[in-house]
Amino acid sequence: MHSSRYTLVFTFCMCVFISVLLAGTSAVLKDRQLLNKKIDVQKNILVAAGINIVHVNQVEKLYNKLVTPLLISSNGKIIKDSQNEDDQNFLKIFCIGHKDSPEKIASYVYPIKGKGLWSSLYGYLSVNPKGDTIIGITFYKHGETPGLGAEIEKKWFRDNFAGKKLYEKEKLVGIIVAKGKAKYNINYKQKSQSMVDGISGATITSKGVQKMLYKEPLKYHIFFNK
Amino acid sequence: MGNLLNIFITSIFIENILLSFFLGMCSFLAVSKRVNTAMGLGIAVVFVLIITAPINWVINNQLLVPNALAKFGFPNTDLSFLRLIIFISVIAAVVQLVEMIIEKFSPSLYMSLGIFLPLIAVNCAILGVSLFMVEKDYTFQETCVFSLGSGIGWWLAILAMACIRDKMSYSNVPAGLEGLGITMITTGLMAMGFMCFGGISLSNDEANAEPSVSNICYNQENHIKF
Amino acid sequence: MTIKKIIYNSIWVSNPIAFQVLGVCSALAVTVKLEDSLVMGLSLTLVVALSNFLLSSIRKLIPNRIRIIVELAVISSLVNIIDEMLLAYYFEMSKALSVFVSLIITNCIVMGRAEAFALANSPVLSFFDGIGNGLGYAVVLGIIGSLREIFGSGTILGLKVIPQYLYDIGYVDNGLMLIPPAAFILLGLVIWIFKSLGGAKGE
Repeated sequence: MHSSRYTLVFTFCMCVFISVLLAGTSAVLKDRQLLNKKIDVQKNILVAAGINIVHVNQVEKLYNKLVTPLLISSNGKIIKDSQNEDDQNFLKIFCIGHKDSPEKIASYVYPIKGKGLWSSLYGYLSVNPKGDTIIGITFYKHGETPGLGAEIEKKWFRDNFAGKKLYEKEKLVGIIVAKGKAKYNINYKQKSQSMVDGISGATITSKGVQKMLYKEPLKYHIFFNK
Repeated sequence: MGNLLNIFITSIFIENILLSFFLGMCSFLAVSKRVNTAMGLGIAVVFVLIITAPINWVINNQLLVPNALAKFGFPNTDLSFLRLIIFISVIAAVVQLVEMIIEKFSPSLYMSLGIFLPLIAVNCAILGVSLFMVEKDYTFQETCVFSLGSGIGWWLAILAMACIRDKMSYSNVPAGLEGLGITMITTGLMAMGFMCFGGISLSNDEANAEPSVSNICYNQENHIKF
Repeated sequence: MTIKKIIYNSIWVSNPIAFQVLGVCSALAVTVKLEDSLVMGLSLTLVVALSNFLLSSIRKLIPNRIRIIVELAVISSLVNIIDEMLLAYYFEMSKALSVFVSLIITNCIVMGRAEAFALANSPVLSFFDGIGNGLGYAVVLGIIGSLREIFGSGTILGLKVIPQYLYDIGYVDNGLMLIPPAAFILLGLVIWIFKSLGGAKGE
């Protein structure tokens, strides 16, 4: 068969070839990919805030017109200096202006992160200026099962969150993701303002979303309640 | 220590890599015909897992994560795009090694395993354990325990299936269902059985406790740690 | 072997899922909805066909001792490159397919056909063997996906097919269909049908 020397040479050539190919593809395509990711993030922020996007080309313009990114410190103060963006102690939040008068604040959007069944869930939550009612939610990154956990990114699931209350009588309660349809849940009568339909068959993902929608708003509690 | 025990027991029963996450089906279905081969393959999988998962952890945390190469003088590198291919390569190399060992020490086992020995390399379970370990952000000790537990869980499932099929050879299975058909149905029933474990929670972890809607107290004077 | 015969055999006589016991993992995970099943089936067809073609072209050069690693390297590089190009040029599609990417690399069918066919046959025949096996896989996935979606959610491809009046008189969506064990059982029944109606007799 093939001699040992041939095997070594072949292995070496194969490694070099594949490394060059993969690294090359990655390097050449990196800029486009980063641009796509950036536009995707901007689109998610706008969609969460309830702004309709008809074509991808509109995203950048609308974003620059309506969205102001801010950093807030752990005691709720806005930090204008964006040099230390990666600092762990600062939270990101986006201020969305009204379509017709961008100086007036229509809503706030902040990033949310949680754990699903197979992966971490990343999304954006949009709330009213008081911070107690959800306007919209989007998920831009996750690795959940198609048809089950992955349904969190679908419109039917996300639309349920519009108008739901994060706070009950000034206390943060988060959102309950019911098992199945919310209206069949035992606590529906008292808690319907903070309850949404769950995804049948995706219990762990649903619970992950529920935990996330308590932990993440908790971080911004001071900002909204100063 | 308690945490390690939790992970160990959870990965064998509550989150059995085969019966709860359905990873590793191909080899499971084909090789579970006879108890001896099932035993052999199970041990091979455990062996491959406890070698590959820790190695992959080291490679991931020391070389691939963002800024890991800073200690060699290359700051700002992010090689996580290589993660998948490196994990698979490590697994393939270890499997080739195991194949050579089995061929030498037990030629009969080697013959009966046939194509499924090299297919351990693509066994979703093995790659799955490495990917889960990354996703769940386990430490080195947790990874070792997790991979051992997952391997034993897989071994347990394949052994149980082999014994059941052994008993079933005395039953009157319709011609079309014989072999793969009835095995699939049996696996479905086994999986449903293991779902009973799904309600068991072993950890006392505060982070995993579900926020109870009615009991959320927020004391205004407490500082929130981010 | 003619191309037609290869494809016919791969779908009906030696279907990768029903007879070769390959590719079962993903068949369970993605068949909750028909749309995802079809996406997975078609993506896999593409990957198997291409990887078969590539491996068959270099089959005389691969040293026997490292053939598994070489196969895996070729397959994962191929999928990696397709993924990178989708991320750059068809971003929306790549987000939808991102979950499937890892499922495809580890799919036994790709490796299984590489070992069993591509290493011993010409590139063109291997390409069509890949297409045939991919389609066979897609057919089984399509059947299970439609059954699970109809009985589990009352829809097909997202469109409601169970009329509202049935829900009103008490019909309820079968929740069992949404969990993986149902996929196993359905698969067992599908295999029963495949084996009884034709295809290879016995094992």
